[in-house]
Amino acid sequence: MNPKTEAKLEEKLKKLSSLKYTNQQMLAAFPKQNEKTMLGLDPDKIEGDPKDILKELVIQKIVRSVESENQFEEVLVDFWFNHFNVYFDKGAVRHAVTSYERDVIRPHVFGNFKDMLMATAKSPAMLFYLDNHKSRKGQINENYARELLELHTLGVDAGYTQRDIQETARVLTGWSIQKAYQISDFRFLKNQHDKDPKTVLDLEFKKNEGIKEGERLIEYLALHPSTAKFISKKLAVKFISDSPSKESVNKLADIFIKSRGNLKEVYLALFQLDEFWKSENIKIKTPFEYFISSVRILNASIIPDTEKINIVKRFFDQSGQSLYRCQPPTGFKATADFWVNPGAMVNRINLALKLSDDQIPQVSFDKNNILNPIKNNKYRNQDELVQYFNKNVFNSIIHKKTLAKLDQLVNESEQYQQDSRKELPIYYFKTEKILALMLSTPEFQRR
Amino acid sequence: MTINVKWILRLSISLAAVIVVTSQKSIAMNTTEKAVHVLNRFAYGPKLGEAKKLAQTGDKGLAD
Repeated sequence: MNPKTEAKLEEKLKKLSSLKYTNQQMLAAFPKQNEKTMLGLDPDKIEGDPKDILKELVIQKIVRSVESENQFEEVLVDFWFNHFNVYFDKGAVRHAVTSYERDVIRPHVFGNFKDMLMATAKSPAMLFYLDNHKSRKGQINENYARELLELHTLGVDAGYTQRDIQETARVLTGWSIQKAYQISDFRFLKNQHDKDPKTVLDLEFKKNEGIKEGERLIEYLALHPSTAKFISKKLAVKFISDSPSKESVNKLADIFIKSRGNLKEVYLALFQLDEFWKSENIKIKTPFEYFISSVRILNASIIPDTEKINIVKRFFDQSGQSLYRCQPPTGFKATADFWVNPGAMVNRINLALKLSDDQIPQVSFDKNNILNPIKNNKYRNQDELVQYFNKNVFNSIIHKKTLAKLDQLVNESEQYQQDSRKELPIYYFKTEKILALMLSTPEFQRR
Repeated sequence: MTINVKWILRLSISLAAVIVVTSQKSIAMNTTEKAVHVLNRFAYGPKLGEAKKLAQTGDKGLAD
């Protein structure tokens, strides 16, 4: 990693002030009208709009994903945030999401699964999102307990029962936050904890073990063989294919168990699987992956301005991937069936056309990055230009048959456009269209 | 640049079908293909010229 590049990146993000705020500072800076009253602030005094938190979060995610040299970390932060999803628009969560990604997810992506699970379980964002902050003896709320077993650890087919969910919820009574609307730090509220004995799966809790019960349960779940398999499969679906072989998943699960959830070792094992090296270009990109990879391949850069984010944000919203706003705890799906349909393709093509024509205010694309080497007018016909871009920009990923079709499509679109600039060098008027079509090819829409 | 909406719509329908059907598994990748594959999976895809650089110099080349 080049320290200069990373310093440049941080400098770029510097003016997005909310990125450094604690939850409490976030509330003070971006309160809603009713929160001003609760905080004793002047209701008529103009404060920051809570929507700005989301804009700054989205921009930092885009900037880091495009420009950070520590790319694997960015991919993993996205993966694990999605695994432990929280929803920005659920009340006080909006004041806690920034810290959730920065302090809970990011520091653990190369660490141990148990530590990340524990950190999410004690995070104000998760406690509020899945309602555990209100769960108390005699009035349990099962939401977090259910998702902890089904989505965060064991997986839905692990054989646990409704009773296990209820017992888990009892174990976690009192895991809360002091003041919900202020979304303060984690607190274990002794007087709200159910002190009676409990059993989850084959794990027993004696009377009155307090916070240790929850910590013991989370450690047990993190190292459970079903968790090893569930997490391994999810990683394999993300990094190998939509339907990875049982053999690969079992290999990863073995490493997960042997290393006691050491994620670095699991990633390394993933990289060494035969199936990984036979899975080239078969995963469909999510809208986010598609946008970021398009910006990267064109060597474009991101302008970190909250006022300019609309086109990009609209693309994600219309494509069904509103960043930080996935309402269900499942997070966004990582498989093709979720992302491939004609409507989504229209969005992608439109984005590609805008991007290649430098029409997205948040993105700065200098065509000369790509055109300078061919400005000697060597490439006189369309076919040569297409071949040049495929080899020198797209690393020859686009197959011959697709290139032939692409040639035909450019000609077809010319009929619609009635382009009258035939006397100019071909790169002058066809570059945007060809690049947009190449960004739209099946080969580039997969990874 | 202006592009006809009908043309985009027609293209998008055929693309959706093609993407699902034509996923191809490689038999043996050359070094650049491997670099692209790694950058596609463990990064958000290669930047312009990055895959060739990675193929030639290994990950040290990327820090320049």
